[in-house]
Amino acid sequence: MTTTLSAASQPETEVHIEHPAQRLAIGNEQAEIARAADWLDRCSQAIGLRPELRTALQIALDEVLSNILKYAYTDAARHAIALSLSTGPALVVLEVIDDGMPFDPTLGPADAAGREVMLPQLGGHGLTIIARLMDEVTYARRDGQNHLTLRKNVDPHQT
Amino acid sequence: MTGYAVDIVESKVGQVVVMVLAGRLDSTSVRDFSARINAHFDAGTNALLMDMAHLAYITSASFRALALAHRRAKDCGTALALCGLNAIVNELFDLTGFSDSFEIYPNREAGLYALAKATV
Repeated sequence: MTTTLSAASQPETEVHIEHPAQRLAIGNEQAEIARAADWLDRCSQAIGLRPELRTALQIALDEVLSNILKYAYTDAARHAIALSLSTGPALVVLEVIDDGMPFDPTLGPADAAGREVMLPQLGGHGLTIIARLMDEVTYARRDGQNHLTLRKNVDPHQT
Repeated sequence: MTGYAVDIVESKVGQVVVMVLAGRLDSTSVRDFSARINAHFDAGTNALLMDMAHLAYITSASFRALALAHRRAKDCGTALALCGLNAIVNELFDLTGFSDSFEIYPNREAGLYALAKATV
């Protein structure tokens, strides 16, 4: 199952990876989110992303990971969350994979079945923020894992 | 920025406590932030100005903390205001509707002026 929330109506272009994907695996605890933010900052600087893009990605990643930590797992076991950052000719792609309970953030705060309905006090701000800051959000449930892909268009003349 | 903790420097100008936030107000640093705010409510602070001019960004975890602070400020009778929001922080305040809940001033001087009047 794959669903996509796209801010732009233009047809999706094939992603041609220019930089090798940067990867990180983190555990499902709060201190690991700080490590992920550190990783994202280093990768973004290495790629040469503009500060505004780095900030947008940092905010989106914090929203995604804090949501996973709070709502994805019902057991006390340690789980791995896989992150990757890659670039195309005019976009940057951040992918987050977790093995928590299914959750499709592209359904939106009001309609999302799953974590947010279980805990309505979340308020849905995180999903609203992600939708605003990213150009495209794609969700897929594959092999018992949530695959969330965040795409941000990059003006090649400004990087 | 190291460790992704938010730096908080506090000073008192007349009756107004000024809390200068620098760095990232995210799901990791929000605990420190909430602890500092609550310390001021517990101490009976009359007026609190959060200067966000040096804040890189804010995430929804911090909006929850701000919502709680707003409620406590009303309960405690503390005048609470924000100032110096950068473009992305301002955009997120508008997006989440928090712009309507808080007194927000362009800079510290304007915030201090308003809070000084409110606490006379």
